[in-house]
Amino acid sequence: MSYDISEIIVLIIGIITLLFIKNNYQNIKKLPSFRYFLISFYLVLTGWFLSILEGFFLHRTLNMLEHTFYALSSISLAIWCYRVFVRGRV
Amino acid sequence: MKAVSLIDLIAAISTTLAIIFLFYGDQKRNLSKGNTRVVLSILILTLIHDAGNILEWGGITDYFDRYLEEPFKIVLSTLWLFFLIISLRDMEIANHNRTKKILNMNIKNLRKMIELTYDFISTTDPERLYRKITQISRDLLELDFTILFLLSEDKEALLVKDSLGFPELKKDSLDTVNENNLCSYVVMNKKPAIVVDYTKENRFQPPEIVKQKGIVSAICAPMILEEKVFGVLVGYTKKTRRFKNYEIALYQAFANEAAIAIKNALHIQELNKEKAHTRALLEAIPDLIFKLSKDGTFLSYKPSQQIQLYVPEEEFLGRNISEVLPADIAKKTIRAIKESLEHKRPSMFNYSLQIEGRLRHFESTIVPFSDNEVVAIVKNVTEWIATQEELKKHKTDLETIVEKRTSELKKRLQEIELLNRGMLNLLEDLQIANKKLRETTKQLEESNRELEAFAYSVSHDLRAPLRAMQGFSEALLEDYSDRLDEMGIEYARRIKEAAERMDNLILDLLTYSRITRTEIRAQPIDLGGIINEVLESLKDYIEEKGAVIEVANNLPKVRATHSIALQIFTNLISNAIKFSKPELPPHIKIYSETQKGNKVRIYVQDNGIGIPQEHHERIFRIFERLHGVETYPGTGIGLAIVKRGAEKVGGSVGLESEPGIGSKFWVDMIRWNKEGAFNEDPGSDYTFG
Repeated sequence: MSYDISEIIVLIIGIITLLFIKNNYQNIKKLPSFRYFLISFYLVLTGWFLSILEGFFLHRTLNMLEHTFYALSSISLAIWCYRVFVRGRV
Repeated sequence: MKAVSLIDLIAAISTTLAIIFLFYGDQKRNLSKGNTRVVLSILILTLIHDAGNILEWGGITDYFDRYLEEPFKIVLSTLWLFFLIISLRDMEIANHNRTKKILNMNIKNLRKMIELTYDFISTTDPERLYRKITQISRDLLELDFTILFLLSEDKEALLVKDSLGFPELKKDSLDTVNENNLCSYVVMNKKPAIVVDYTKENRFQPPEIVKQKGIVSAICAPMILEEKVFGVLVGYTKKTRRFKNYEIALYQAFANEAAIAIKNALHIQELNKEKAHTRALLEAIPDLIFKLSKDGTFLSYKPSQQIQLYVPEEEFLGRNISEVLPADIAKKTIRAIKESLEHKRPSMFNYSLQIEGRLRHFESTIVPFSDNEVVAIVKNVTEWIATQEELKKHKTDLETIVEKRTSELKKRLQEIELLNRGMLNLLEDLQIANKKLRETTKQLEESNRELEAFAYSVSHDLRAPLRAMQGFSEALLEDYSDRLDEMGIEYARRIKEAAERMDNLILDLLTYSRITRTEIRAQPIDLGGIINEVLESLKDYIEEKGAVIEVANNLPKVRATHSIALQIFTNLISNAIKFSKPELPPHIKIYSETQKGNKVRIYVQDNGIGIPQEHHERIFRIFERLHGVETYPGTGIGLAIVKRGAEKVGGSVGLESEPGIGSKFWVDMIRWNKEGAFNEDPGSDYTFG
């Protein structure tokens, strides 16, 4: 039953980023293959949120889920990089 | 523990791949350099984070988890936010630059369009305008070739109006709209189209001329006017060119601008024509035309060569009519102007003016021109009025003359009526006299016939006592010559000869009478056969006289009767033998000659004693003789028979003769053909067998 203050900071920064995305969605849409990028961010944000939750209950399960989301986020980011830097999708 | 380690491994591999894509991808321009660095930082931190997790779960070290993970997460989350902020800033800068570029381009294009518009407005000659449009459209997009088409009135064809780079294209040559080509496509879709590479184009076939010129790319815009396609502007390049959107828009705007300019130029051309036509019409009108304001002020005028102005131009232009013309005329004019403007219809009035000492009459028509202006058309009717008066006078004179003549005519008619009555009486008398004449003629014909019958009968009956006289005189000479003295014998001989002459005379008279009475039934008579028959009958006489007779080979067939033809040529040939020179044997030629119409002339020519000119007519009369019976025996009827016979068959006779040289008797007869009509065949003139 413990959490680290840095995790709260990360979560706050993540929420600020989320709000930023919401407010500038029309412009962010103009980023190449923006969907993959945003999915990657949402997944990593979910991972960060799960790392706080694991301190309170279901430590092992949520920890595993946290790492799974990080992995999925990395995959999505790899796809985004492929589309942007290799295929040149605009 | 192993599962979590595997997940982190997958995450690490994915992150590594992302880093590889970032480093080795060739499309880095899609992100700004700053942004790319931020992404790289995120990826590296993520990779380290994943590596730390793997190490921790693998039981190697938990250093990363204990000391570095949380700060890493803070940095990582900050980088995500940072990335988005930089991206937005880059986008704004890019947008700004693009907007600025487009704005500059638009300003440039706008300036160009304004210049073009000014240029177009100042060009009213369509031909010059077409050339300007092709030149400007070529320069506008730096094209190699340009063609300007206008749609035909029936919208079925595109007519070439001008072109650059296609000297072989003639003005107004056709390009059918329904064909599968770029221009037709643009006309039908009413929007611009481009071809990047004709070799890869599937929508339509390139025209032959495009292939010949080695054209690769094309841009084509419809010239739209009032939402209808007016024409097409097409440009070509030899190099491959992907026309940008703003270039296409500019080309389309230019095409629309050109359409307006062309339409205006064509309108101006039409207006100029109309203007020239109107001016010519006005010039042709001999009347004076004034433009007046509502209150009667002279605004302008058209002079007339036939009508002299009442006052010089400078004394009436800009002044009111009441200051120029006499008060009564001015009043009439103002009233007519008012009436014309009020009822919007022409108003007319007449007036007279003393110009150069002569009274002139005018007819003025006021026509509304606008709400405040009218046009006055002034016609000089002086001559017309004079003519009318002259005509009126002539009419009165004419009526008097007609009245006088009518009474004279009535008188004449009465006289004619009287004359007519007299004529009718005369006609009746004439008819009675004519009737009497016809009866007398009939009686005469009857008595003639009786006389001829009598003559025939007498002639016939006379031959019986003659034969008795001949017989008895011959008996006296044969049986009693020994008992008669010389005087008796001589008397008997003379009685015999006289009887013989008398018999011959009676025979000839009978022949003459028979020819006169014979009813003619036309039939074809072969003259060759007739001549042969005559020669055969005169064989002894010919031999006795030693006569040489030449007959033309194929004498024609004529319309006659056998007996008459035989009689005619027997008499002519025997005469030719008889009237020969004593010292020279007769030489006779018989031949024919075609005459005008349906006649043929048969000649009997001899070398005899000839006949003096003064006797040529006489010899054809009955009982006419030129020589004594002792010298040339005969009855004096032979040629009369020839004449009567020829006339009986519709012909005539005549002669050409010279005393001492010979005579040439001719008979004209009607030529026979199968139908009984005349024949154009000239026969065998002058050909002797």
